[in-house]
Amino acid sequence: MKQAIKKKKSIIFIYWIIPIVAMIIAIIMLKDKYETKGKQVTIILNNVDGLNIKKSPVMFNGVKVGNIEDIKIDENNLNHFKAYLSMYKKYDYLVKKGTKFWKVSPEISLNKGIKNLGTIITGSYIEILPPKLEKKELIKLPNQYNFIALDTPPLNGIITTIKTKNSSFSIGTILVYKGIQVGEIIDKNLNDDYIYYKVLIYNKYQNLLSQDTKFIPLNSLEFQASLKDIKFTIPSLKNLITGAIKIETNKIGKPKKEYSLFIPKKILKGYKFTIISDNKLPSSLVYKGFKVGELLTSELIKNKIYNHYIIYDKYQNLINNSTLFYKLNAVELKASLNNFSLQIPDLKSAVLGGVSFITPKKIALNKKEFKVFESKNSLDEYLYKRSGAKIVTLLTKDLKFIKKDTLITYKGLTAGKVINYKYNPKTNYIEVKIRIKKPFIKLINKTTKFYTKSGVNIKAGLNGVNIQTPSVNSLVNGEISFITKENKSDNTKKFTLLNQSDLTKNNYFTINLIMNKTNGVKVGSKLKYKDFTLGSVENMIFDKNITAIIKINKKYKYLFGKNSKLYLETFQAGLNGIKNTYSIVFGSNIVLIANKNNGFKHNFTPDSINPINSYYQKGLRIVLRANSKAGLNVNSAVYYRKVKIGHIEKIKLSNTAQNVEIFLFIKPKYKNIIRTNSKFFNTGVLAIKANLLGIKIKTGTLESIIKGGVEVITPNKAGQKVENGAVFKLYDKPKEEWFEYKPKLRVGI
Amino acid sequence: MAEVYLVAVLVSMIKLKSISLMTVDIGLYLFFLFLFIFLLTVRFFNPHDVWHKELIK
Amino acid sequence: MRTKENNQIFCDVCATLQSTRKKCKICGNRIYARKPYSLLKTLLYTLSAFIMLIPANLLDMMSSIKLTVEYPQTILGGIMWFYEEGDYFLAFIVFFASIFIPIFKILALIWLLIMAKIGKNRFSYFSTKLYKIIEFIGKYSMLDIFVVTIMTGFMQFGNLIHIEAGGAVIPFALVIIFTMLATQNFDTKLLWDEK
Repeated sequence: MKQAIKKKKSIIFIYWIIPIVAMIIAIIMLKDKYETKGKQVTIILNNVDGLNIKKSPVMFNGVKVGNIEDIKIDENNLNHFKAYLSMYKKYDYLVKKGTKFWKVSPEISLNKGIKNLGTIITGSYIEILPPKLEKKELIKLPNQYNFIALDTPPLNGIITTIKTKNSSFSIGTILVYKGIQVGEIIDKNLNDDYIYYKVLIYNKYQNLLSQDTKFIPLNSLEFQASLKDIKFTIPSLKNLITGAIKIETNKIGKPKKEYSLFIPKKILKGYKFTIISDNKLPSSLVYKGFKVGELLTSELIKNKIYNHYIIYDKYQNLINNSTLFYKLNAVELKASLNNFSLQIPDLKSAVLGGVSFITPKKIALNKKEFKVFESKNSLDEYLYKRSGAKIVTLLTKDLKFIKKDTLITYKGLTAGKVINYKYNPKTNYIEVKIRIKKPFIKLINKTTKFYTKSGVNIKAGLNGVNIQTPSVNSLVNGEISFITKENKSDNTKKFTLLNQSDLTKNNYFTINLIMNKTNGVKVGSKLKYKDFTLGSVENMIFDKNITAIIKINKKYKYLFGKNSKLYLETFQAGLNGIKNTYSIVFGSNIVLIANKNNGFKHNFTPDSINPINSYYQKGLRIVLRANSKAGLNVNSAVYYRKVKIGHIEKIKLSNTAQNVEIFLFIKPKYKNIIRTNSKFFNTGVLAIKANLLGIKIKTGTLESIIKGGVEVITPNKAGQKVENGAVFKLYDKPKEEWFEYKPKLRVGI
Repeated sequence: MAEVYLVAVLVSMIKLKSISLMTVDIGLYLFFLFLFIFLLTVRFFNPHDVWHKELIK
Repeated sequence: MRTKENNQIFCDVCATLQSTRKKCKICGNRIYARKPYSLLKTLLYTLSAFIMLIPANLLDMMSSIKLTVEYPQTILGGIMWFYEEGDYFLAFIVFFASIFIPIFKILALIWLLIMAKIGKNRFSYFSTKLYKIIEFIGKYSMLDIFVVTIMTGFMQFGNLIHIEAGGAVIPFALVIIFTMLATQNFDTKLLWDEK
């Protein structure tokens, strides 16, 4: 017994190990943590934007070597901040005398693109650069704990100076050697009429600086040309505008302290000519977006400006005596760029504009003086007039699809084009100038009517798509067409532009459908009669009510008698399925129930109850007498052995108001089922009862339970066939024996 | 423990919201349902019943 | 239940009174009048939990590594993060689960140990209630462990961003385990024994 107790005590001793082991583990873990804490360094920063206390890291070449512990405002200079850095112990040696600190944050600039993209996500950080790059040497250096951070990353290259008298570059302009960026301009200043550029050449390209190194300015166009040759990777946008500096060197001799910008002398070869104008013309001569020449000088003689241009040698054959010049303003130049999708636009001329030209004929070139047109439009007008075309003006309030070069057609033939258009604030009309080709001029007289054929004139329906456009071009762009009654020309210069529909107005009449909400009716909704489209909604007017104006061909006017009705065929989703799906896309259909007598009705309100589809169908129509409506509705089904054979068309009180008359429609093929001794009962009521009592009667379909329905049963000894208008009694519930009936009845197909 | 896990899921979701876009899908709702049924089960289960067949009615 | 005197022991598993002292005749469960070495075990587990509480709170619970830069977070740091984001409610929940409960449990266990040593006194009723409470709320301190598990599972997008469990996870889990063991080994009957 004693031994047993002793044994147990020794087991319990093991439990003492637990806290001891826990203690050891805890000490090891904590020691690990606090040993990593190394040097505490203070740096002074101008800007702490984006730095987070305890979060922002101190990095060296992408490795985290410490943390920002705290940031405080420097009490000696409130514009400065003191950041307390805590280095990791193992990287302590990186912080020695001469270590450089600077802040890295995301930078988006024109000349450099996006820099330090990573910091957008991680936030800014402090980067360090130790004075030496070997640990052995670093350890020997003395310690330093207070630093002043640099504003910009330390420059990684050598700096040299270029001086020039007149070329201007902005800071950040790149230096390229064989298409590779080897440096950039970091500073510029003016001194003694010279501009001095401080240029940084990156470390690995240092050997490019030698005695014979030439710095050659490249303007944007040349720069691009050089880029094309050497397949430079995406040059930044700014360099496209500002150009760059090209370096050429044979790498002979020692680098100079200062270089002069080398400006190669341009020797322009080409044909020189003069354009006389009222104002000074832009400096570049542009042809289809390419610079083919330039302005040399211009002088003022007798109130006219003589612009002396040169067209470069290789483009000389583009001009001759017939050449017509016109001013290209900046916007137009861009527009023409869109059309021709030129390679690289000359941005300078895009901003300043240029002088362009067309050469209609191929004749010799010896003319020295040319005129210039103010714009392409005025040149076009001149040309059209010269070719004998007639220019007329169309007045419209709505420009729609019309733009320059929209076609004018006559019976499908191209008869002219739109030259231009402008808005006249006095008349509040847009004046569209068009030209008519010579053969069609004789058709233009005061009886001529111009109308727009809209680009999209598609009549879409479920039955198919009917495109009413003569050509693909007009389908896409639209066109202006005209009709004329007389075959002579007169001096009418101004026409009103009509809509195509205006022309045919007289063949139509309109009716109004007045609603209190749109019910899915929209412009274009069809008016149908027996599934045939009579017309469509032309316009919707919203005031107190919503009035849909429906345009209908005149020949159908007889259908709209005083007692005619309209109802809406809207989208329906019900137990029975989904109806009129097309109305989601095309809007509700408006359906006419015609009454041909009694004059003409102009204003309609939509019928609230959708009439039954069977309204126009032939079939058996009989009447049931019931004590109450009992859950039955218009459209409720009539079943025979759970097969739908018809539906309720109408429910109304009998004339004496003693009972309810239910008018049934039986599809013609099931006509034979209804006999004089047929029994009708309300299946809706039955179905619910059957469910409750668990009687062995199959319930009606789900639809009939909710909507109610009428079931008909004909006894085995079937009676006589019935005629329209026969009257039956509607039982509330069936008798058991009725379900035994199984007469043979012929059903139509 | 399941309810602790649910709270943990919610806390994590809010933490992760600062890093990425989080959307709730059906799984979370199913987890709610599971938790509810699980708690009901625990509520009504009595371990002593295992040893006393005659008491279970 | 005063069963010590009449030599009958109540079996917790099958809820029957047993006259034996070793094993329950019905369910085979080991039975005893009082849990053996209850106070000593409870004390040692409590002590271990307390020791582990220190690294659990000082080390990092979790660190998110965004573009190779590590952003560690301690338990308290996580709470402060919620607080700074304006999520006071969640800050409170996490504070309650991760800091308040472990400390409260350890303090409560110490109180219970003292009370059990004294035996039945006027605090016995209160102490039993206290035991019930710490037994129930103990599991909620697992919250932070779950959070770390879920977060590390979710956020593994290589160098772009990933989350790693920190050094505090194991000590913190040990705190919870030790306090749970301590609670389990404590015998509430000792609170009512007359000395």
